[in-house]
Amino acid sequence: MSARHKDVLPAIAARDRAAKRLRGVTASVGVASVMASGAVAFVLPGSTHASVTSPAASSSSGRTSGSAAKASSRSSAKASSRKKSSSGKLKSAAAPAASSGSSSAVSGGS
Amino acid sequence: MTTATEVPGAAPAGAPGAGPARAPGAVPAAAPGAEPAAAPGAEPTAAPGADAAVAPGPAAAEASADWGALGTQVRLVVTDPRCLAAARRLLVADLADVDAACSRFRPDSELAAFDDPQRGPAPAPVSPLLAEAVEVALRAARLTDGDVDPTVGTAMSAAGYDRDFALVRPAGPPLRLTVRAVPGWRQVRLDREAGLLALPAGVQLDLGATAKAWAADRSAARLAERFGCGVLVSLGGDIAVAGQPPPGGWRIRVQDTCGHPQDPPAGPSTVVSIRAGGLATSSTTARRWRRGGEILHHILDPRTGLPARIVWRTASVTAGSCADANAASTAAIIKGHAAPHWLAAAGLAARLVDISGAVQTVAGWPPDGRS
Repeated sequence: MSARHKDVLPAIAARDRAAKRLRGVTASVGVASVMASGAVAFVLPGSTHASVTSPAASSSSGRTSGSAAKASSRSSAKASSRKKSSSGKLKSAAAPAASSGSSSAVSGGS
Repeated sequence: MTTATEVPGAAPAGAPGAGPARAPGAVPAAAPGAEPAAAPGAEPTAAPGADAAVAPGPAAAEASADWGALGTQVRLVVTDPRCLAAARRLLVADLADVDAACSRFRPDSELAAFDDPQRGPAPAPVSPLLAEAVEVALRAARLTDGDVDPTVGTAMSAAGYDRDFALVRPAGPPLRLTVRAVPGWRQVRLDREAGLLALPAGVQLDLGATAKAWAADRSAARLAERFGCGVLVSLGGDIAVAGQPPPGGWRIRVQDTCGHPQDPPAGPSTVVSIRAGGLATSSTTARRWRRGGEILHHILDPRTGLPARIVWRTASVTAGSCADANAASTAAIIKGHAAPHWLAAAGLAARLVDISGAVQTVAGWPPDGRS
């Protein structure tokens, strides 16, 4: 091995180490991108977000707690406001709560 | 006739509790000149505080007003009585706009112009308001497997419902009705971006099934945004709510036949509360007439063009909007025995009353209690 080669070998090793670091950084950036896009997809409106199990369906046993029903109502209202009219299903809402006494309005058929 | 009533026990001093609630001075917002009247077609400004008569502040009580429009009973309830008069004026204007655009019975409506036999099938300009109403109707058709189809107009007229329901004769000679599928909602071509609507010759739209519910949604949202209080708009029992609901939610009596909230209920009834979205009831008993020995009603099965076979007397549904609740409740009447499964699969809470009066609840709708 010539003296010139001896000078080059450390440089090659250094280059390889740098390349590995670069691949590592690239991979990290790739994972971060996927995570970021996932986060964006979670936040953005759309059918995926809107198709979260409907509060009405989840409370079909009729045992949904008051606080859960309120939370469902809020999340449902938020999802409803985000969905466009062209969405692929009828928008459900929190099931109504039993009540009594005087009423504000009557729904008796139209 | 226009009347205004206060929810019992909720009348603050000076609020429209006794008698003519909207007499000048009864509520601050009703003061003459306090707010320019909203002309039909005028777009009310949404800027908070633009109306000096609408003072901000917490809701003191519910206040309500009742009158007739769109061939049905209108009820407006707000959680801030100071907003009632101004809110009513805007709702009157909103409904006048909807009527002028969507009425099947007014010869001067925009929709009626599309029924002109001289008009060819070429796309014609359509206003944004009618376009939205048609879009809502087409969406309802698509999401109910075609059960709620706006192209039932011709079949509805043939069945005798060809004018405002108040003018439909309750009884008459026999009709010869032909079993024939309606043209179908897929025949309707709507291009909202271009503002064009195309109907094949002979296709008459009836937006009655969806337009009232959509109008309730539209106005409830606009009024809640404008006045910053809770708003309930009921158009013939199609109920939309928006804004901050009253404590405990909006209490709604669900029953077989229409009536005033303070009237004794007729038929099995229940009281439920909702906090957002809408509640609609479709009924085979509310709008019916007799021809010969046959009882007819206004919910047609698009597959036959005839009134749907009566399995359910009423179907009540809650949903994220009144338009969706109405689409589901109307579809439930048409689907008949398949309705409970369909509603449950869609996660739509519902209350169905069968022809014998037996009540069936679906997807979390609470069982009837004493109310």
